[in-house]
Amino acid sequence: MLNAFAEGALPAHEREQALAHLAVCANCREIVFLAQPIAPVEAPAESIWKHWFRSAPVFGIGIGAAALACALIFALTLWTHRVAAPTAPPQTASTHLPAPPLPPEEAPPKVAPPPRPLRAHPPAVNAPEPMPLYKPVPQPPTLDGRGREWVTGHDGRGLVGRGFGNDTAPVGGMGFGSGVGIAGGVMAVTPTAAPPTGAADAAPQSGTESVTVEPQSQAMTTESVQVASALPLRAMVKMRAVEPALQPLPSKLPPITVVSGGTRTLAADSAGALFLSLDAGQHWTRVAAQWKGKVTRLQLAPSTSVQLHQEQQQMASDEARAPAAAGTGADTISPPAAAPAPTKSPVPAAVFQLVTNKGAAWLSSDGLNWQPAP
Amino acid sequence: MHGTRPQSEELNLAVAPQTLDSESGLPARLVDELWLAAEAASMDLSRDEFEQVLLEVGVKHHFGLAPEVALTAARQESFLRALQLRDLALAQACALGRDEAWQQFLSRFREPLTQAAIAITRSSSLGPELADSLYADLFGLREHDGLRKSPLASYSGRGSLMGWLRTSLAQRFVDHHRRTHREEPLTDGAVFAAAESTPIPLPKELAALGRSISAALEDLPAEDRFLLSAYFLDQRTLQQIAQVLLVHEATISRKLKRLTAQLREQLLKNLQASGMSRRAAEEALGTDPRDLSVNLRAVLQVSAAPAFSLKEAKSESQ
Repeated sequence: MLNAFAEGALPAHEREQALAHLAVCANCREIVFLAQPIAPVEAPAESIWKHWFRSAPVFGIGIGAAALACALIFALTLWTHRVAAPTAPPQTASTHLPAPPLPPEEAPPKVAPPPRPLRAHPPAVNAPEPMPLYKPVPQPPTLDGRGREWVTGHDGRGLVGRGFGNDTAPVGGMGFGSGVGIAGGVMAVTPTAAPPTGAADAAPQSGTESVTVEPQSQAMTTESVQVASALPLRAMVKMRAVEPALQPLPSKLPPITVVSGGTRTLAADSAGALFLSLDAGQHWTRVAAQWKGKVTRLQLAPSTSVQLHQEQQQMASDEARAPAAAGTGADTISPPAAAPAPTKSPVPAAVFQLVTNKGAAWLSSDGLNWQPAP
Repeated sequence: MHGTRPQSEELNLAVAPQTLDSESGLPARLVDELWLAAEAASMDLSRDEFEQVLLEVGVKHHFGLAPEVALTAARQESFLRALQLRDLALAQACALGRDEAWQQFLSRFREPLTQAAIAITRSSSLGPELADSLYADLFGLREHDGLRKSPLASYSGRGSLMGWLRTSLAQRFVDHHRRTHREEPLTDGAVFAAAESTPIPLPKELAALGRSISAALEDLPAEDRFLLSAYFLDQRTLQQIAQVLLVHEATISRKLKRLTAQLREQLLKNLQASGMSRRAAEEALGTDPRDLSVNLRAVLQVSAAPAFSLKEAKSESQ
């Protein structure tokens, strides 16, 4: 009867009798508990999960929905990164640029700029390797990790030099001709395109742009600029040193701005003196000042300025106008007495522009002869 | 009930057939149908032998009816159809020593019986030994009055034969454990019980509390006392109790919670009836149980309903 009781085979009155006996008989209770069938072997985890989901379909649906949401978020994130990440060949930089806060003096001009050309400058004839050029976002000078002052480009026009606050020249580790500005935690990398003058100071507004940059000079080989992500705080710029490194200037002062075009490299030291190098910064020669004040900035002139400068040179050659100034000092190169007639001369590889501390701009195609910018 | 007696003898309820005597027999159509359903022919058990077994089982258990309920043909048929006919035929054929039946028995139950014995003993060495000892009994090696008698003859078919075998194994294991437990040497650290001292008279409140507890427990239904005994005395788990009572363990948990709350209320009532105020009764319930002389085991196991053995003794005396 204990067996029949355990299997539920007893009618109600017999079950009641069995329970009454079991309540008072510890021996029979022990037998009943011992005689219970062997507990089924635990099912594998998969079966448990199946049973769980079967018994709680709503929970299973919730898990599925959560998994789908996670997959969608992941796909969206991946898609966003692919849009923002550079997908073009090495000479093409694709960046997703949020609109940086512009200082009042850097506000975009009222005149709407024409469409920005993707190609910055025509490639130099003797430029063997391509080099990406970028325009920095204007920002106040900052200090790098070693206490050196980092003077970024000023207006983003043309080829922007980089100033160095370190008095221990040569300055290595940073490539010429590229500017990277980090303002407010947002990195902006823009091409050094040559927009019209009116739009020169226009900072990149927003959106994603893909820009093909052109090689400028062998001496300006910023070998790689990798933009891992255009998102704030995740921007990473990797730049490699310029080879060969610059030699110290003859004034023993640190250069504050350097610009290179073609085979010529110009540098201005902290005293505002201008120096020219024909061998990528290995040897420097002082350029006689034909302007008043100190040189504070060097850059490549915009295309419109170049055209005007060429026209003026053409007129000057026609009129056989003598050069305006003469050099000073033994190591100073004076401009030639008569400028060579640029008849049928091709467009110079680069036209340099300097800006003095008084705001005057001067143009030169060779770095020696300077004329006020029109 | 105790010892190694077969279950049929232990749990034999004194039920006397009222309207169906042994001479009346069973309907032939029903016997034929049940004999075919039991596949008794394959066990070398004849129809007449099977009919006799059915009749004995029915009469013994009054066809599953309460003594005061009159037996009808429909109830008789319902009881017989609810039996484990195939197992019943197999057990009876084995008890009669039929080779065909023993082959079927071994093929069906040898391995499960060994596994059950291992589960009961929780030992892979003691389990097969226990199963083998049961086999020896089942073969009828023991003689009673010069006749070989197999415990399988006491199987009534009201539960499964496998369940009956497990119960037999468990009973055998409990008996074996008690025998060997008595033979175990005393350990060095054994603490002998102190001589019973004269009971210290309890304060009035504690005495009243003890009486109230006894009264409250004795008034409980059989199932509630079984629950309390299994859970608090035997330390069985909710799952084990639920498995025996064929309910979910959550049901057992709810029942226990309700039962203890009900007991508390009943104790408060009993204490108030003995002259205590409600607050004094509640304070009395906070008494340390060690201060009480109430033997809960004894109280719980003194049932108002007579046990099987007591019923059997009464019926025999009548």
